[in-house]
Parts: sequence; C-alpha cells; structure tokens
Amino acid sequence: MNPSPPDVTQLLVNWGNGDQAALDELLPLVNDELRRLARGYLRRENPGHTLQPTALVNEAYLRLIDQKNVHWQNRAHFFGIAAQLMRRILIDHARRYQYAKRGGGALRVSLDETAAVTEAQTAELLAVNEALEKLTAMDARKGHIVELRFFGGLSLDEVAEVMKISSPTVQREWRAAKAWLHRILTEGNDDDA
Amino acid sequence: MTPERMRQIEAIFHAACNLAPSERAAFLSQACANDDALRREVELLLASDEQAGTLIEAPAIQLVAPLFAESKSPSLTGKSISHYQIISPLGKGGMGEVYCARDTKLDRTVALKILPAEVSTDAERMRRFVREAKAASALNHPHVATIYEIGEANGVSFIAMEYVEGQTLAAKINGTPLAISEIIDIGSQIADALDAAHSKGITHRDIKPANVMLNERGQVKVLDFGLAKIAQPQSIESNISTLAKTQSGVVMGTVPYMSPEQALGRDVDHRSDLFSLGVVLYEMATGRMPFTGSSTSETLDHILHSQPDAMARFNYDVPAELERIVRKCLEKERERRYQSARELLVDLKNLKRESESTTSPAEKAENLFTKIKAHRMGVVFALLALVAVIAVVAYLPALLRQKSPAGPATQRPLSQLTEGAGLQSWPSWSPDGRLITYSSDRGGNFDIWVQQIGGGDPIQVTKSPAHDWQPDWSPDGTSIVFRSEREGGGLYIVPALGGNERKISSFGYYPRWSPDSSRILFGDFVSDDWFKQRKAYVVALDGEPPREVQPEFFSRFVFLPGVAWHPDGQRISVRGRDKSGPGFWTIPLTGGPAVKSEITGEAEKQLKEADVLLLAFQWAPSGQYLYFVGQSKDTRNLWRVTVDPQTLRWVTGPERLTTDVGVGSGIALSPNGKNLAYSTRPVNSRIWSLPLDAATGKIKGAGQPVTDVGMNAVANDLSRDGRKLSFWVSRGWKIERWEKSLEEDHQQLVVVEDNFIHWPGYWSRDGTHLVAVRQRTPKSVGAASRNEDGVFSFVIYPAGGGDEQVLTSPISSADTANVCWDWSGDGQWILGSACPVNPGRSVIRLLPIAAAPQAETQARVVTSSEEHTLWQTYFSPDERWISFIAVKRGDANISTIYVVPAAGGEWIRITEGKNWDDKPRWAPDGKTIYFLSDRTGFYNVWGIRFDPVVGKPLGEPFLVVAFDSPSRMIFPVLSGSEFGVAANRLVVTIREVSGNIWTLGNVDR
Repeated sequence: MNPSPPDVTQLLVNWGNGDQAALDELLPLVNDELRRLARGYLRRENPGHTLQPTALVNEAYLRLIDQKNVHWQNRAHFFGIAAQLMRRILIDHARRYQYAKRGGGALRVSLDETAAVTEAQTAELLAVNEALEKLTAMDARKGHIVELRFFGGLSLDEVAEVMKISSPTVQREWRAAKAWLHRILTEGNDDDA
Repeated sequence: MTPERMRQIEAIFHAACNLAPSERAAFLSQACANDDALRREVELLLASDEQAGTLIEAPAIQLVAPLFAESKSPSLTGKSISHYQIISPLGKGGMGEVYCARDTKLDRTVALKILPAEVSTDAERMRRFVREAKAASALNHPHVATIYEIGEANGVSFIAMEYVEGQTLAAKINGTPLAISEIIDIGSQIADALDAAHSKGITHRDIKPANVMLNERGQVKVLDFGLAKIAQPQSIESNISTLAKTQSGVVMGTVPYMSPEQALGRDVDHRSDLFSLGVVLYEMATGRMPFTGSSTSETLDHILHSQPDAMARFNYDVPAELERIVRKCLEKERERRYQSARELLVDLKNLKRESESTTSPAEKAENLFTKIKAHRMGVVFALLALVAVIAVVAYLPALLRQKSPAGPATQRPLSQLTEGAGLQSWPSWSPDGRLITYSSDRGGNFDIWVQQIGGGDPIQVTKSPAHDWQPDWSPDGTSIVFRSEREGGGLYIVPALGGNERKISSFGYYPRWSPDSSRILFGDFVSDDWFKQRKAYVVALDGEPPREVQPEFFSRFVFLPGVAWHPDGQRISVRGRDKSGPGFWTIPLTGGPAVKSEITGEAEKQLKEADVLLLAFQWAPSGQYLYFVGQSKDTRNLWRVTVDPQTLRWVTGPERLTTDVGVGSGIALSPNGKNLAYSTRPVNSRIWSLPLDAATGKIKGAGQPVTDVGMNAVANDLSRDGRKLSFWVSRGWKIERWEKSLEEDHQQLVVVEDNFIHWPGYWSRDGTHLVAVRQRTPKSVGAASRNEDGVFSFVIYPAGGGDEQVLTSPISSADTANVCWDWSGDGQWILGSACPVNPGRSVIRLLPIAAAPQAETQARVVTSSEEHTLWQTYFSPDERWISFIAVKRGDANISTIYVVPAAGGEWIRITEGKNWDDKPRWAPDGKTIYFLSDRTGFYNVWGIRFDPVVGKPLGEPFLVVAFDSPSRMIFPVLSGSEFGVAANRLVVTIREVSGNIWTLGNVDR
C-alpha cells in the first residue's frame, strides 16, 4: 500500500530475516541520515560534554522508522544495524581523514592542535577496529557486544536486552573482550593468526 | 587460536579474575597443570585486563568527533568588527558565538552574534541565516530581545542585538519551584513574546529557560530567535515546502524541551514552541523537567510516549487550572495543544485573575447550584430535535461521557498526509490507492488538490477564484467530482489531474460517485454533517437533470448525518434519526422499501457501552464493515461496525479504531478497503463584532473577534445598547457564563455551571438582568441516550452574577418546548414561546414577572398556530411589533420570518419562506430587520427594510455581511442567540476550522 520507495521498515525486517541484500540497500539510506544527525548533534554540543551515540542512533531510529509500524523487538535489530552502520561510517571517516592528511585528497584539513589530537584518535580508532575484526573472527559474540557498545553506544544493560542474554554474562564477556582487544593491540598479532 | 583454546583460556581467566591477585599464581599453577602455553596465555590476558583501563569505554564517535565538528574560530575579544568593539565572550548560541560588545557609534552595549566561517562561506546556510535574522529583526516587542543590525564586515557575518542584563530563567529556577504568581507572570510574558513572533510567521524552535532572560525588574526577554526559521508559509509553493522539509532533516532544539514532532525531526510549527513553553512552565512549577531520562534516548522516549507526573506531586501549591494549562501545552498531538500562544496567554491571564480574587467564581457557582444536577436537553420534536442535537455537539460535548472500550489490539499505523495551517479536508482516494484528492484553502481560497500517499508535493487541480471543495474521485480513476461556489454554485467534474471542468448540477453538496462511476449521489445542504439535509439526489452524466431519491423516505428524518452508496451500487444507505429513534437504513435507489438494519443483542450492548453518536459513514467494499465518524464526549474517532452483508444486520457494535486523534467529519476508505483517510478539524469558535451603520444597514470596516481563540465562546447575546455581551464557554465538564463589556474590553467569568443545561440568557433592556431557560431536575449525568427529557423553568438572574429567581413552574421538555427570548421595555414581562411536542397549539406569550414563580398562569397570548412552531421572538424597539420565525410542522427545512402586532393580530410575512431565515433582530430605529439566512449556502447576515408605521416589509432582503468559507463561517447553531444587533455594531459567533488529512492503516483487521 505504501509506495514510498525507501521503505526502511521493510528493509529492516528483511535484514532481520537474513536478507543480506537488504542491508546493502539500507546502508546508503541510513548512512546519510546518521551522518547528518551526527553533524547536527555535534554542532550544538557544548565542548566538554560527552557525546551520546545512543542519542544519535535513537534519533535516526525515530526518524527513519515508522515507529508505529515496528514492534519493540525490531528495535533490537535496528540497534544491531545502527551499530554496524555507525562503525562503517566512523571507520570510513577515519580512513578518509588519514588519506587526506597524507596529502592524497582534495580535502582541506587545518593542522592545528585539534587536528593533532584527532590524528592520534583516528589512528586509535582504526587500530581498535582491526583488532575487533580479529576478535570477531575468534568469537563472534564478543565482537557483536563490542560493536553494540563501542560503536552503537549502548549501555551493557541495553546490549543484554538487545542480544537477549543476561547482564552478568554481558559484563563478563565485555571484560574479556576488552582484555583480548588490548592483547591484540599490544602484541600486534595473535599466535595462530 | 581455536575457539576451544580460547574458551579454555577464558574460563581460567574469569576464575582468576574473581581471586585476589595474591592468590592467582597458585590458582594458575593448579588450573593450567602442565600446560605452560596455556598459563602464559592466561597471564597475558590478565595483564591486558589490568592495562586495558578505559580502552573502548568511551564510545567510538567521541574519538573522532572533531572530524565532524566545525573548526574553532579564534577568540575575537578585544577586536573590532564594523563599529562594534568586542568586550567579552557571552557564550555559544544556536548558530555561532555570542559576544558582549560596544556599539561605538551609538555608544551602547550589544550582544554580538558571530557566524562561524564555515557558515558564512556556505551560500545556502548564509541565505538561511540572513533570512532568519531578518525575520527576527522584524520583531519589536517588549519581551523579545531586539535585533539591531544584521551585517558583514571583513568577511565576518554578525547580528547585533539587545544586550539584556540580569539572569537567565535557568539560573533562577535552579532546581526549585517558583511562586505560582511568578510562574504565571513569567509564563505570560513568554507567551506574549511567542504570540508576537508567531503572528509574523516566526517559530522560535528552542524555547528553554536558558534562552529566557529576566532583568532586575522581573521583565522577561526571550533571546535567540537566531535559530528561528520562517514557518512554512500558508500559500504553498512546492519549492518552499520541499526546502522546508530538507532543512528540518537536522533536529534543532534542546532535547528535554523538544516537542514530539521536533524529536522526530518532523516539520515543526508554532505549536512546537507551545510544547516547549509547557516544559518551561512545568519546570518553573516543580523545579524539574517533565521528561527526563538517564540518556538522551530515554528523554526522547519520554517526550514521545510518557505522560508527565502531575505537578502537584512536587509542589502542593500548583492549582488545578495550571495543571490543566500545562497538560494542554504538553499534548503529544499538536492538534490537541493550544493552537496559538494567544490562547495560552488568555488562560494564564484568567488564571492570574482567578488566583488573585478571594472567592473563586467556581466556588460561588457551587454554592448556587449544588441542588441542581444535570443532564442534556431532550430532543422533543422536529425543530427542537435538530436544534438540540446540534446544541449537544456544539455546546455540551463535555457532557457526553464516554466509556471507551479497550484500545485497539491491531496496530493501525497513522500518518499525516498534508501539512499546513489552513483547512485541508474531504479526502478521497484514487482507485489504485496511491493518491488522495482533497480540498484545501492553502492557495487563498478552497481548491481541489491531489497528493501522493507517503509524501510528495501537492498538485493543484482546480484554480477557480470561487471555492471548490468536497472532491470525490471516480472509481474508474478518470475524474473528480466536486462542489464549487462558482456561477451560483453547483457540482462540477474535472479530469483527475486537471483540465476541462464541466458542470453537472446547478445545486448540491457532497457528491459521491456510484461504484460503477456512472452516477453521482449528492445532498442539498452545506453543513458537514448533513444536519439539516433532508433530500438526496442522483445525477447521471448524460445531461439529464438530477433526480430526487425516495423523497418520502427521506422526509422522515429529523437528523441525517450520513448518506452513502451501498457497495452494490443499486442501493444507498442512510444513518439518521427519525421519530422512532436512531437507525441505519438501506434503500434501493429506484424505488422499493427501505431495510432498517437489525441490531443483534451483542451489537446493541456494545453500542450502549460505546456511548457514541455515529455520524458520517462509508461501507467496506465487501459489505462486511461500516466505518463511521463517531462523536463521544468532546472527541471524534473512527469506528467500525461489523455487518452481515446478506441481511445488513449489525453483528457487532462499534469498535473504536483511533484514540482521540481529532477526526473531522469526512472519511474515505481506500478502494482496497485497507486504509481510511480522514481530516482533523480543530474547531474554534469566537464571537466577532462588526462595525455597523444601522442607518444604512452597511458594515463599515473590518470586524474583529472579541473573544479569544481557545475560549470557544458561543451563545452570545448582545445588550440592546450594544455595550454588553453575554456568552458561554464550554470547558471540559463545565460551562462558564461570561459577560463582557465591549466598550472597555473587559470580560468577566460570572458563573461556572457544573453539569447542567440551560439555554442562553437574554439581556433585559436596561442590561441589569438576564433571563434564561434552566433545567430543574437532576437526571443521569452524561447519559448514554441522546434522547432524554428534562424539566425546565425560566429563571432570571442579575448581570455579574447573583441569586436567580425562578419565574415559571417546571415543564417537561418531553411535552413542551418552552423558551424565553426577550424582555419588555419596562422589564415587567418576558416574551417567550411554548410549542407542544405532539400536535397542538404553539403560542407566543408574555409572562408577567410579578406572577413568579408561576408566571405561566397569568401569561398573555400574543399569537398562536396549530401548523407552525413559533420561535425566536423579539420586540421591535417601540414595542409595537414582535418579530418571530415560524417553521411548518413536518418541514423543518424552511423557516419564515413574520411580524405580528404586539397586541395581537394578523401575521405580516417578511421573508419569502423558501430558506432557513432565523433570528430576526430589529435595528434600533425599527426600520430594518436583520436576520441570519442560509439562502446562499452559508449562514450570512441579511437585512430587510420595514415600515414600522404601516407594518410591512419594503423591498428585497439584502446581504449585510458574508462569511462564505467553511474555515470561517457563522456558527450554524439554531438554538441559541448567536447574533445581535445594536446601533453601532453587529455580533455573530464565527466558527473557525483548520485541519489536515491523515490516513489510518489496517482498518480491515
């Protein structure tokens, strides 16, 4: 009945049902939206305030999803996707920044103090991302938890809710995941990798 | 590393984590036995655990936030921009940094807002900035920080504005409630500022305590209209609306003060500011915000879904009225909020006055009327039935108590199709269900528009300077039929997306295509709910004149809110009330008996429980469901009745499909039967005063409303000297009686009448007293049936409030409609009429006040009639004549104005007897009779000359003033006064309507 072409709700449901193509379609739609929200959010954020990606994701959720159409449990799917998307967007941004800094792009980046800090943080983000890929290969559940929390901005309780596992389990997994990530980052590699 | 190995390592890791560091070595030796590699892995992991610290504890976005953030501008302190010398930074505003600066030209301190370089180099953002700033600079208001200049110097764009010394409201509140009087005072000043801005199309979008400055005198200045954007103009150009949508993609505002529509990133309008102001009022009253959570997302969730706690929970001093005001501001649906800042301001001012006076009028009222309980006016016979049903709907919605069944179990998505401040109404679907046609006055007057479901710009189909409305899309998709006021009015057909327009009938309203697109059914009266409609017609497209459908059948109805095609295209169905009560009939178009739908015991029970007045309807294509607009209490919803398609029997009673969404009167079912479109219609009624030159009978100049938006004043009566106005305001369960001095623009709440009925009061000649009809007997309050009778008397009460004097013995409305209308000049007699319900003699009579409380025993009959109901009687200024209306029994469509000598005698006919002519009022010189008439479709004010010496009308009726638009029309209520004339003015009650089209899905589930 609803002829509007980017039916996010339907794509979301399809993706939830295992249709990977839906995600590819969903990505550009949500990507732009998140980007815009992130910028808008940052612009009005006072210096020193902690950013809340959950809020960004929530705003995206509210804007993109006809919420009356989607049952509450779909929210979990959404947060999963949103965390993935945030991850892709942020990593994409970080990579482009590095590329630009190396002089490869036409992007103008002013190299003041802020930029120096940013450079270190960008590098950290990319490193964590790589480490996370390794961790996910070893243990997908930990990878998912980190993705939801670190990229999606969910609290551990929210992660538990979304993943339908108990809070203590999430806490244990989180602690272990952090330790593994740190190990991977400091050693640079893993015995078997 | 294998997953097994990893699990093994982790198991030992977790166990070790639970031990004190000193115990770990021993534990590891034991746990890892002889596997040194395993032990090394666990040890490394434990070390990592210790060192990981804050790794990935902060969200990823924070790491790279600066990549998104704008580059910082260097400090400007000490520098000069144009003729402003920057003194110190003040903070960051909606768009840019703000500095305290010295205007060296005018030697004054200003607040200087500097636009960041990224913005000033971005042409589009720059345009927006300048536009916003220009809009804001047009505001010159004591409670708005003034914008002095918008300028540019050396590539820096800036705004210079009034520097306000003092503290912000945020600093003042600081977590503790303010005094109630202070809350009202500050709230009123903010509302006043918003009113000024909104009237110029400027929405603030970021009302919050930090944007409200209080100077040392307690004067409020609202800051930072820098975020404000010109609200979407009412006259739509598609570019503008597209642009507005794109821009709103970024959510602006501050989270805890955001309206739901803002939180959703939807287009916002001025009502969003009223929501934010509600939040501010709440915060002032309680020291806390109504919607908060531990995270932004939680806060947003509360804004969208939670009802805030009552303020009285946190502050016992909060009066109930303030509670109500704030709740109204905080309605999730903006249609249900205050519709204007002015409306809110009025309520705040009223509250101020009430809280200042020692005894509240409400208390007075309670003392006065404790004995009198209430119920509705009974519907007694044709005219009275018509009148009373309207009265119930119009005046006393609050009395119709609703016992709602449980909410709908099926998810039914609701979406808004149109946006805008005007009236978008009467939706109808294209056959493929992808488009909706409707009428809208966004172009200045009503035209037919088409819009795609799910978004897209509206396309204008008709462009006539006359009103075009009530479109219906043909089921074959080719054409749209609509009512147009062009060329004297009639029905027209236009190709679906515009083109040649063809007239198919020279009269009629609400055309509806037959399912096979061959014929069109229509009615003959303009009122939305076909209140008065008594005739239905069908016209084919072959050029033959329209044919009346089953006239005998239709003549039985006293109330006819719905007529529609049955899906078989051979029959039509009717929702109405005849003398036996309400019912639903289906009748063949070409002749043959009507079938009244039986109602099963179950359906009957559900009908009773629902306590809803079912109005306009449409059949599901399957014949299985009927969809109704249903009125209950003061809201309208969509309802569904399940029907046996064979027998037409109602199998189950009404099921409510919506929850208080503000349904208007028109509904349209999509051709696949799955979606309903409807229009919201927030209605306001205001009393308008128009300057009248009584000598010429001409209106000289523009009229203006004398009551406030949101008061919903009705039932006005103007004193003969034109100085005083009495009116009613229906508020929730109560009715307030107000008096207003028009010369001094002062109004006063006289009495709050709790749960009882009376008819409007009429001023005595000297303006010291009013007379009214008042219910005497308590009956079931808010009874389900709309047909209960009551017992009524005439009462007299002093202007300004006080004890009432009972004038007549109680009479049951089941027997007689007994109504008072006017006073004799000496104040000794009341002019009234009494009309028996059953056949009998109607009389106009004079009742001596001296004979109270049984004045009827010494009544003097002026005139009487067996064939007519006599109504609306008034003395001429010299008291030689009495004007009245006569309605033939059995034909409540036509009302004729007559004059009779006050001493009795022959009737002199004043109007033609072809229309509904009502409320004949005398000009002060007695040489003109003014009246309301529907002769052009709408109720308008007409006049006719009268020779008071010989007693005869002179010439033809002439139009005095016209309100020819459903978005602003004379209140079509026939029961009350609603119309008054004095030497210098004329007052009428005007109904103002706005609304938008919405769709509801899954209505077949």
